[in-house]
Amino acid sequence: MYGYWGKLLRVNLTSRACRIDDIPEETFDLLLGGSALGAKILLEETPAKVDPLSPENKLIFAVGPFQGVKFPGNGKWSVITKGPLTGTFLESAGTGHWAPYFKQCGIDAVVFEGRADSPVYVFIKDGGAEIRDAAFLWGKDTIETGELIKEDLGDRRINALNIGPAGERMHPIACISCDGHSFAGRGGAGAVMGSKNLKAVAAWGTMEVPVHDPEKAAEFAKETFRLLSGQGEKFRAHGTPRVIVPLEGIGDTPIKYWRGDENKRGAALLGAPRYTEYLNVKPLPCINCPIGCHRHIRFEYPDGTVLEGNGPEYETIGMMGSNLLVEDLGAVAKANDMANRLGIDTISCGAWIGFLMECWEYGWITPRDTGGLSLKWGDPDVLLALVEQIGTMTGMGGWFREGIRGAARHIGGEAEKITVEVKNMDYPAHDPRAVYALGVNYAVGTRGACHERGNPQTSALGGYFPELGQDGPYDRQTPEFAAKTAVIHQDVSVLMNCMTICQFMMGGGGLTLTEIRTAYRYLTGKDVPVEELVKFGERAWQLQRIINVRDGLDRKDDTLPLKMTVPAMVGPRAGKTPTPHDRILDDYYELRGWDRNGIPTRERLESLGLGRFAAFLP
Amino acid sequence: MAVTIRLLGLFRQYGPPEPWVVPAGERSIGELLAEMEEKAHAGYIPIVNGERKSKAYVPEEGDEIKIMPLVTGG
Repeated sequence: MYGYWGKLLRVNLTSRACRIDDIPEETFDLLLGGSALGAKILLEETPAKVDPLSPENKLIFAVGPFQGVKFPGNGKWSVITKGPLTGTFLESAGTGHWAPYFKQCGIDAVVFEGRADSPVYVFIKDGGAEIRDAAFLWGKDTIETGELIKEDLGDRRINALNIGPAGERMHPIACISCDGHSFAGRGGAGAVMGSKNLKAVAAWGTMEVPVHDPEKAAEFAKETFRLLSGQGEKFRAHGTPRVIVPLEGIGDTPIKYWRGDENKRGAALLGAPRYTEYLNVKPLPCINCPIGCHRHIRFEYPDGTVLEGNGPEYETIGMMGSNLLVEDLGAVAKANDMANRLGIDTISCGAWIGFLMECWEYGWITPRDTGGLSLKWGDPDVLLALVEQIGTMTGMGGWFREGIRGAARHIGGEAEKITVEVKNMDYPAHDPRAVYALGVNYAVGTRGACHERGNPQTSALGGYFPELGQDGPYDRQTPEFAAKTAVIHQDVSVLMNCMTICQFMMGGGGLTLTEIRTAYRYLTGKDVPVEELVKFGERAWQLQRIINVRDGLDRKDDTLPLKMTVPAMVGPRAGKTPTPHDRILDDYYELRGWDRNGIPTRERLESLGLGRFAAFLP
Repeated sequence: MAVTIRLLGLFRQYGPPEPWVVPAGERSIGELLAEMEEKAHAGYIPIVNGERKSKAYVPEEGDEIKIMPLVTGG
């Protein structure tokens, strides 16, 4: 077997025992790795409706075949579990400097089982793992934790995925941090770590992954690196904040918790190029990245304090800036830093603050509820106060222990009608009224409303897949194209999470499916045409859907929030809604080979080689 | 002899009004788009007759040219 070790590390935290199992080559031939491998393990090894925070839930970290050479964007890793925010399947992905060293330990994935009786961290190394005491790390933020583990292991090269205080408290939007600047951000995978008393997973391996044609694989990786470095030059200069202005220009960015129509001034103040100069940006690359889209910022506040570190990305600026009408970029950077250190998802955090501001505007919550705080739109001090409360689950933050649905129930009245979420996961910073495919994409999202599995918003920026027969991006506001666009983008983006290559290598660097095919052939010795490659993405998606269907989810859960049926009055969203949702959903189910209730059919599963998994369907 | 270049997505906000018609066989795509690339703060991939080409490609009569921006957010 090439490109893989065929090894799965199991760490039972209850018994503190580690063991290595074999993974047969056929599994990789069917599923590649990463997201799909994790879904298979979760489906086969956990019971239906398992409590995400119970010892019976499993927490899986997995990579794909690309970590054997220095391939561009192979700093990616996936974490797979049942998610505490949605109660559904959860896969979240991060980057940083961890994944290749994890793979070089001689394993393709690790499964954490049970629950430790006291805080621990796990150090994975060549051919095995060591469970270490983490009492000295408990209570530390994500940045401090990474530094302390380097000291504890006596090697500054070693990186650790870790959780902050929010994860320790099993916060429903707790994320997993890597290097303090990349996060498996959405859905609360960090809370699952906290529930297992697992503070961090460090990895340092030196083993050489078996590669089919090492010389050609290395040479091709080098060539591709050079190519993407050139093509991604402009993306490197401004990173994801570059798209704030153009996406506001097409009505994609949230404004005033999805009720605003236009925000040109805010976009210009928050987005690049102003962002780049105002926050003194330097690119912050992950390992083996030819682009460096993360932002290292250095900003001095009027009071003389200096913030130096990871800067906010597009999503954070969208949800904590534009969404709240906050125009103070320094405050958004500070809020981002606070959330990152506490270890919470900035997207949901921004959504929750917007929800609270709207409730305040309607008079549904009063100074008595807010501790005297006036939740005014655009107030940077309110932003910072609420990030603190949400991150620590104090004050109003305590209302969100079960996510936004729980907070809406707590507030009562009409509050449940104004939330913008699917399966309890808040919408990210892309509006389906601007890109209709997003409506159905969020609705059927296997982890709730997600913009990275797939990412049809990239079609609005001009992205498409000529290798899959597309003649150009489909029209973004035509209902007939919505389901088709969602399917293509889901298959490709989920493929990337099975390969565990950063998706931005495509959208920001111009990596093609053909180049992925070539590299995969050199790594594994297997030639898979591009139209077959994307089927790996579909297989993963179908497995994830099976997990949710097994738990009772179906069409009733594939919803479009009420606000998305209300068009804007002016601007690019005026008169536009991604409707009729039911018809678009029908189109989508048909393309996916699901029945009218959203259940995968046996025929479709068999055509994908997944027939045996039909047994898990009710 | 002329060729039409179709700008996609982001670049439509920065380019000339459609259709953008340029003479064939004269300037490379890189030369034609240099100013726009700076204004848009975004790179791009030229797609000629369904295939990716380098910026050095000089458009020829009959070509179907699309410009796919390289920028993303998330």
